Amino acid sequence: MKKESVFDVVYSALPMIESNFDEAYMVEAREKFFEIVDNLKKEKVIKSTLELVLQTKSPKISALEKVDAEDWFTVSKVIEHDEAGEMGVFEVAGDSFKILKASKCKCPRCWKYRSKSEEELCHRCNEALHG
Amino acid sequence: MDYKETLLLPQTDFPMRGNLPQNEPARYAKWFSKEKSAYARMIQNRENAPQSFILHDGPPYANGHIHIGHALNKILKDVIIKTHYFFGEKVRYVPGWDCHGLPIEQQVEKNLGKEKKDALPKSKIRELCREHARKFIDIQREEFKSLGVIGDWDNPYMTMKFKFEADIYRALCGVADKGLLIERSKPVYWSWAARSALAEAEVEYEDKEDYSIFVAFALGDEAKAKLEISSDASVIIWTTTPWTLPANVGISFSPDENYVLTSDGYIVAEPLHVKLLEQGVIAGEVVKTFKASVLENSFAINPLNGRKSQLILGSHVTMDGGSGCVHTAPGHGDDDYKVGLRYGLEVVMPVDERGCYDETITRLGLLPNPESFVGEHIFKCNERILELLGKNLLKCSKFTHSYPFCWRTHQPIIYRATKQWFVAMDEAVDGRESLRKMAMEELGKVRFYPKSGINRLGSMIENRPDWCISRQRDWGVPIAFFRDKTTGKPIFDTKVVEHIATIFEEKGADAWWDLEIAELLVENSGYNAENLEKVMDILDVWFDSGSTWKAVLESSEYDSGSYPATMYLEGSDQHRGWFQSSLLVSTANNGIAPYSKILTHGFTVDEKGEKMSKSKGNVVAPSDVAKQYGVEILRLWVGTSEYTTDLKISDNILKQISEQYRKIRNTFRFLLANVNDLETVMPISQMGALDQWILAHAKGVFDEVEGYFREYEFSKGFALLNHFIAVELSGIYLDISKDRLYCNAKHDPLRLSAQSAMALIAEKLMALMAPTLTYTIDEMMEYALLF
Repeated sequence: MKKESVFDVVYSALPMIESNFDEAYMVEAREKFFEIVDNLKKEKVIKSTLELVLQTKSPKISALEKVDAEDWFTVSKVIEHDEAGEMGVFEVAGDSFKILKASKCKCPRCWKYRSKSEEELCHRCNEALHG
Repeated sequence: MDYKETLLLPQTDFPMRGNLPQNEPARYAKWFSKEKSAYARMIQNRENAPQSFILHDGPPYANGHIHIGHALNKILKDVIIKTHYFFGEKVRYVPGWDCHGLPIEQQVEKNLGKEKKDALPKSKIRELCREHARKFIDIQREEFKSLGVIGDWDNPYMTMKFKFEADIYRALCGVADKGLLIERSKPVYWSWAARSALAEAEVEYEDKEDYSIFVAFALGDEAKAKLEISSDASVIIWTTTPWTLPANVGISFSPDENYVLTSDGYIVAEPLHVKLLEQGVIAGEVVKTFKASVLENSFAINPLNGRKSQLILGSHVTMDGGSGCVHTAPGHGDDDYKVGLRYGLEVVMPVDERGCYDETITRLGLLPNPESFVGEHIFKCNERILELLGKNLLKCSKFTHSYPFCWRTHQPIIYRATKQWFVAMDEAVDGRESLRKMAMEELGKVRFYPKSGINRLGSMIENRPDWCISRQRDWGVPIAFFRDKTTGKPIFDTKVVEHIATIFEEKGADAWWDLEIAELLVENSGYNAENLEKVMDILDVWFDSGSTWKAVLESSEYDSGSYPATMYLEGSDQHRGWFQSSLLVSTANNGIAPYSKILTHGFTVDEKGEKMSKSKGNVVAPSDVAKQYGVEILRLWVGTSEYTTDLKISDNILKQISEQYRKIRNTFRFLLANVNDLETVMPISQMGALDQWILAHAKGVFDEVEGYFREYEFSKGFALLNHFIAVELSGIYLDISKDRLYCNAKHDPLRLSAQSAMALIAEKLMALMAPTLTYTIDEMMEYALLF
């Protein structure tokens, strides 16, 4: 039912919510990541975190959907295998993380570095527009 | 190609800027309109709610405009009532005003002139007082409404309504019926400037310069014989009120300490001998040491008038200062009165209601050349009395001390014995415990916010004297009892008093002055009107407000909920005022406290913690805040302040609060904009991991906030909410969700999931903030399509 005014509001608590998300671990990873990123930005090496890819074998990250892991760090990709172009490393609870320069091209729509060329949409944007 | 058009960017018409000062009045006008009455809607929406919350309003005085302290009080009440409301409870709030009492009567007197007022019939004066109160009730009512405070403004209670006056009187009859209303001559705080007795709550302490004098009272022959001396000797007394010396009837000694006779013939307490030598009051060595009990019931001579002054023992005598021999005038002091009762001392009281010596001075020969003192103000006679003491004035100096003053006239008060009506604290009548004991027991069942309140109220109830409830003024509820001229006894018969109450209901309490005794007396009363007289005192206004539980909660005149109320909420000064008077009147009548919870708030001060005053230029007026920042800012200030201590307010503070408001508003705006095209909320179990995470985190925060709000700890709750908004919500979640919200397809599950989480968070945040930011949330409701 659409409420007419604030006086039709009643507060009810949120239900119990199951979440396996390890907040402490993830927040620490994000903070350490941004510490390095802030320096990269300051030194004008990058303008946006989307220019980056994060490499890690962390089981906590692997357990996440790829897109959730990417968005958590606002990077263009999170990968497990090593690649060239290292720009910084950090560790969380013994898991190592490596920050890499994205090797793909910037999608003209979403600005993630996931296109084959600068003129082409990435897969997601292509689907969103024409799917 | 420009892809910007293909992104699903956030979109809402909810304005970024609140423009509160411009926009608030129209919405408030809607809430207070007949057609869209917010209070009526609140009552209707919770008709079947299982829990109810009754806040019984403590009445502000119907005089003057509201200040920031009133605003704090009423907004805090509003926030607490709405907290219960938005948590699903039934609420009732009937605001009220205290209408009787000296300030209004004085205002009317000022407008008329004293002479003209004295010439008018009482009921005409009372009509003028009513008019004055009515005018300010209308002013204050609009001022309170302009703060967005919701309640039954169409039928508020007023202690001057006829039915109300009748109920106050009935509450008094209830006290009389329980045998707790007593009449006795006793020193009471007396404001000669206001010509009235004052309650403790009406006394304020200020610095006053007074004399400090040591006076010699020569021993009579019997006393000398008891001391086994033949030479002359004098007891030294110390006092700060030379004008009370004519009324001296005794000198009190400590029963425990030693006293000494000095070689220069003076008697003082041994522990004070050296000090008095140093002060030059005396010069002699100790020649004899004795206990004062040897002198008990013999006499010294008052050097002013040659009257006898009885030597007595009293445990109130201390060795803190003076001489250890205490001037005792039962007509002018509480300790004096009590010790005088034990020794059967005469209560000499030669001062009239204006603070001038009366004919008693002549009749009892209290001063030489007595006629020249009659009609003179006592404070102006000090010097003449000092002169009359001559060589018996051993030392005279001036000093400044803290002295009781009348709260209304700001003149120093005196103790003056008069016939007054009291509510007895310690009488145990007809198998009931004493009122003090019952009230203490009832207090034990009350929940206090903050908890320390019970100690304050408890120690006041434990230590307070009998409650003097009579006043010798015009604007109040009369102590409407007949007195049998033959026996001098007041008549409390149920049939007689209930008839008077019924007349008050119809004609107002003015009838007590307007009607003849025969007209006021019930038929077949068994009394002869000729043989009756009216008691002409009126009630202490604290008795009026102490009876509001009866006239409002127990009465069918108001839709006010039930008695006892859930909560009484006022400034912490009301421990000695309304909380106490209400407890006493309710307990005396019904044996129970009128409230189950008491919440107190502190006072408003400037940012340096200083009291506001016009001269300092640091006054913050609620109407100015509303015009410059908006009422929402004032309300958020209340919601985010720790209110149990003093609350600081200033332009700087209001600017900080405005900044907080801007952040809250922007967050809400962003949430609305993001969920703008969402049609249905996805079940949480189907949501993505990030959305489940923020909801799980939000649940933890919101549950804790709810706990704080239910305990009325709003500032703690708001601190958590603000932290959540800044750190997890805006700092992480809203940021990491942007890509999927803007770039994914409209019905992509990831996008719908994030939108659903945001919708849920917005909904809960809105409901949690609704008690405080009611205006803003109401405004949002117009733009929030989903909820």
